[in-house]
Amino acid sequence: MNLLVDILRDFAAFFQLTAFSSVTWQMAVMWVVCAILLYLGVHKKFEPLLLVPIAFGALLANLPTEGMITSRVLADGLVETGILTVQGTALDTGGFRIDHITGGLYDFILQGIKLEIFPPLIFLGIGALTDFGPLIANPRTLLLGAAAQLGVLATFLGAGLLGFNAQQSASIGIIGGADGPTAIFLTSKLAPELLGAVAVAAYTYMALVPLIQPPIMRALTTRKERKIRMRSLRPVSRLEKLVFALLVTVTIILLVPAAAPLIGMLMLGNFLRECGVTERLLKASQNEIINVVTIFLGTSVGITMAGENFLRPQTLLIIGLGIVAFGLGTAGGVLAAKFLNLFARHSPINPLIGSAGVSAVPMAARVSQVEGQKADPANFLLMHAMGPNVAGVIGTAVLAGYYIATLGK
Amino acid sequence: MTVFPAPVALTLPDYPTLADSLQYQLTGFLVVIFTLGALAFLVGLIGRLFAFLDARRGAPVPATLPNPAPAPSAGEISPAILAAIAGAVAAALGDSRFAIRGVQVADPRQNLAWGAEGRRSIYASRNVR
Repeated sequence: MNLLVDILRDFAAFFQLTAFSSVTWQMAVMWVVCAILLYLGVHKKFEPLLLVPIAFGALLANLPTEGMITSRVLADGLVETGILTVQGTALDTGGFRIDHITGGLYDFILQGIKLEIFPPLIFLGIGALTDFGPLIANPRTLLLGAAAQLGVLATFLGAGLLGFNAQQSASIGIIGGADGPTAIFLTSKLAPELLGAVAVAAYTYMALVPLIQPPIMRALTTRKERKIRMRSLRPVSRLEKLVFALLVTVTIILLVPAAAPLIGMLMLGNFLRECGVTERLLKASQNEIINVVTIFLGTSVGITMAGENFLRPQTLLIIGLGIVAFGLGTAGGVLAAKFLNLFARHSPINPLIGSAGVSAVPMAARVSQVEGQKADPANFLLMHAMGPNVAGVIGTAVLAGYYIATLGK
Repeated sequence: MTVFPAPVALTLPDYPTLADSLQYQLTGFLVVIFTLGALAFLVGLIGRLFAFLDARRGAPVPATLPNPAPAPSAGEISPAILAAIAGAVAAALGDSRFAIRGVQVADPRQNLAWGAEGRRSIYASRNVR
């Protein structure tokens, strides 16, 4: 009998070593949120390459893990994660010798976001995957990429009216750029407390581009406009593409130096692609680098989504404002194409390709193609739409550079 | 001497007024339009330069174009396509001798499927953001 009591007592004592007592209601709610995100990523295939790592990272953030990540509760109730403890010795020469750095696995990996390393590396891969030929053949489409930033600008105003500060408003507005790495880059710099919500909104809406954009495109165009056939694009030589990569690098970094990490890496990747003599580096950029960084970027974003940070009314506001940003960006691109047609009657632009200016490469260009073919099945807009599509990537990076230069502290 | 106020973009408070925000955003929009507009101008200029250079060193256009090859009738394979198929087979087989005994036009539905598969793989490889 005594043996049985001892065993039961030991068994009860064992439960004191488990983590059940550390589970909070916020964690439990976040498990449901993670399940929803995994459902969207796995079953609905909404940007699964990013949503799955984000959701799994969020799950890890909301479990009482050990050796995974260090966190502490700040005075305002938010949770700060990714804390490294550095021990060292002050040297007589005035320097400091690091003896030991303590932290969990993701305290180290998260530095890739905190130090703004991951988004530019993703841009390296994007540059290596992108053909800028359609943009070079029709440089007018750069203006469509610029006009589609209207959504970012208007949402900044809306976020300000809802009580967000300027840094937070910029981070929320950039969702409208439909460019995940740029959104993460800017938010980690200006408003890291919103990183999880902004990233989830950006990637979810990017996946919903085929649902969000068509009604706006149809509402702002006539059937006659949707039937406009554009001139075939001229072929672009390899040398011209190389000159373009160098030109964009120099011009944009001179005009907006704060955009250098994104634009510099984007164009480095593109130069590797077009120069034709760096096959191994190109393949690494297009595959291994971007894939490895995507895993770490996604899980790092997810691991910032502690329940105390994510389960706040402002998360719902961010998700609401995100869709406004997307919608206004789409409208800006379409209206800009119509505006340009006032001055180029001999070579009109089909306004449907304007919506592709919101980045979301290549999904937004594909939406332009599908909508164009609904009006005229023999009209092929895909390659024309790739121009504003990649211009949108550049435009969003420029705007992020403007925000960082003026709001970064 | 006229003293201009400091630009809003550089002095924007954490919680700006609507007027300040509007001014700040319009400035930002101008920055983007100017940057991408300048880029469009330069790219267009360089494109013209390349077109000019190509025209100067390009092959002279013959006064009379050679007679086009007769278009193959439906179901017939043109000699150019046969040559391309033979080249592809030779490249795949290496030194082995071979003879093409017949070529058939594939089912158009399969052609569409191959094109769709190509586009799908391109989209899938780029769908990273």
